[in-house]
Amino acid sequence: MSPGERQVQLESFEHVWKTIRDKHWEAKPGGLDWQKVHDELRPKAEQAKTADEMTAIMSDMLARLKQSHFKVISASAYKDMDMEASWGSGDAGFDARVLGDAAYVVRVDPNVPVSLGWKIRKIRNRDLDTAIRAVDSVYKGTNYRDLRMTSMLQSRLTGIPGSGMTVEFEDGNGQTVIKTILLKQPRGKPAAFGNLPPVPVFVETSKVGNTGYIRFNMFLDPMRLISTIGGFATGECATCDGMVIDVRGNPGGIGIMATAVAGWFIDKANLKLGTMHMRDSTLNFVVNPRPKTFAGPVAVLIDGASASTSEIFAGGMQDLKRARLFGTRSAAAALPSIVEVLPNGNGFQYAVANYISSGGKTLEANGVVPDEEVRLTPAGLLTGKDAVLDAALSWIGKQKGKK
Amino acid sequence: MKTLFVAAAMSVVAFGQAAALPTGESLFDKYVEVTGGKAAYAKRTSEVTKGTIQMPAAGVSGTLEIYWAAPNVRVALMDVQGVGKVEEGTNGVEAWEVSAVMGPKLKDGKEKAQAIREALFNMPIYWRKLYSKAQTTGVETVEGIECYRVVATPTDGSKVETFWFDKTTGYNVKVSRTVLAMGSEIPAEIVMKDYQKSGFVIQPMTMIQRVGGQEVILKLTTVTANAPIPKTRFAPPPDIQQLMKKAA
Repeated sequence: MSPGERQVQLESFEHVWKTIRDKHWEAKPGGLDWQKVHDELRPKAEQAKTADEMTAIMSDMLARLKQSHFKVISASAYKDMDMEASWGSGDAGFDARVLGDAAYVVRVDPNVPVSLGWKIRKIRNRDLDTAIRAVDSVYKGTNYRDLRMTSMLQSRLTGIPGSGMTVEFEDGNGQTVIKTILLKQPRGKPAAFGNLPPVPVFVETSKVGNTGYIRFNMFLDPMRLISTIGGFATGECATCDGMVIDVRGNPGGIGIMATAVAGWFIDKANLKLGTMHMRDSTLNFVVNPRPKTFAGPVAVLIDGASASTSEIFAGGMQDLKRARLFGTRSAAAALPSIVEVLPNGNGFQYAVANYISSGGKTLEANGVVPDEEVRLTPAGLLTGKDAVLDAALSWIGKQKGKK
Repeated sequence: MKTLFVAAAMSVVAFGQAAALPTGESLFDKYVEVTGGKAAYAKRTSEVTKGTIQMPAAGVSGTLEIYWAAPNVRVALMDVQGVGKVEEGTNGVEAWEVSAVMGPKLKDGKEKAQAIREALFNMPIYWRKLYSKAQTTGVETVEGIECYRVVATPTDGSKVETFWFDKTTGYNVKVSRTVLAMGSEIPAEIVMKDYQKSGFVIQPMTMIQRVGGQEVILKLTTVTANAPIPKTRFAPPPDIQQLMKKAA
């Protein structure tokens, strides 16, 4: 690094440290002596030889908080995620999760030559077991494991749109199946919010019998997403027997959007999903009911990769007894945060508040626990069934019977 | 004996300070005077303002339009990148907020009262109507400017507000108050800068709001006094009208 570059890196180091000192919701961030953290790491920062080393030191600083939503995003990640560059955004057309100690296909788009329940052994000839063990070495036994595993899989199941990706599967009969998956353009439309890198956002609505089904991948692009959800829930599906809102794998987005989605399903004014606690104030996540709302039973599907705004939404709807939750415990990563750009070009995400659901639960580190725990299994997936969705549909069916 | 001496000395000091400070009332009056005077304010019956809104730390920016008319109707329209359109308004009877990120809200209770109170057009000349008491409590340097600090007590019973007036120019440099939103009481600071004559009066063209550790910067680019504004501009949006019917 030149003296000039070193100066910029040290400014970035100081900015990260001071931001946590001044804006963390606890006067003693993470229970740490924050000055001591500075005094320990500053000499290391001064000795760093490369930008990557400096990023690692800042990441080490943030990791000591042991809280979600604190990270340094390398400048190259912005480039990688740039929709215009179309690098790293290709869509494999299927979703995967680690179930137990192996990865399986849990959802497949039409016309993708892959089946539900297939085990994924290798992606681009790289053994997946190694990566799973690496994640387990840090997160095994924690509530963050599912989220980290899913992130690891997602980062591997993508690439340049239009390119091919070789994946080695094991089918239901234990046979090896090797497929070249054509990576498609990412589903949805790119949406940007502030310093967050642009991400493709989609929302899908459909009917399963006479039950509505809504799935969206992030809480972003509110103009499109919120109106699509509302239009479906109070229009085409206004007389549906019930509504399933699937936020499995949804990592969140704009926190307050949880209230806007809830507003299509809650008829009573002045209810809140929860409260955001900052150092000098609190902010209620109050739901504003729409003039017309969906009145039927609501099921929300969650899993270990449902994070942040998804947890705010699901946890609040559960606490208000407006929805029944199905699936597995959520990611336990629910701190409201913002993303800044550092002087060195890196992104810097930091949480500004703690969040407590209306029932009094701190979602960070605890997550949202479903009312009915339903786990996907390889055997169940091989039959083509989504056990979590089926459980929700069954419950909605029973509610109709109760009427 | 010693205690009595200290108490006496403190009372002398306090008395001395109070004597040296202008009254809060005179500072509010001076503000009206230095920004144009009552007569200039009286010439204004409406105002259309355009500008920009930024949250630099988060990289969020957008546009801002404010339509404001006497006696107390006001609609602010924002279009923020990544968030979409936001409308906050009052027709003097109802107050509302509509946004894609939060949905439509028909304000009630203290939130509604605050929104209507703040829509009072030509607000500076009505300060006696808004505050029952204005007490100068000291001199402080704010934003690098030596200011008189004035604590004002609202007539509607809401929490006290603190104003800092520039000792030299008389301009209002900063206000500290409690904003009511989302069923929450949120401490906020508003710094006012770049005072310029726009229309008949002088007003700040830059306002920096500090809320929850974040800064929101409003920069006004044009201020047009007495521009014709159709009455329909202050009508509640359709979703709000439906909520009003529902609430009736």
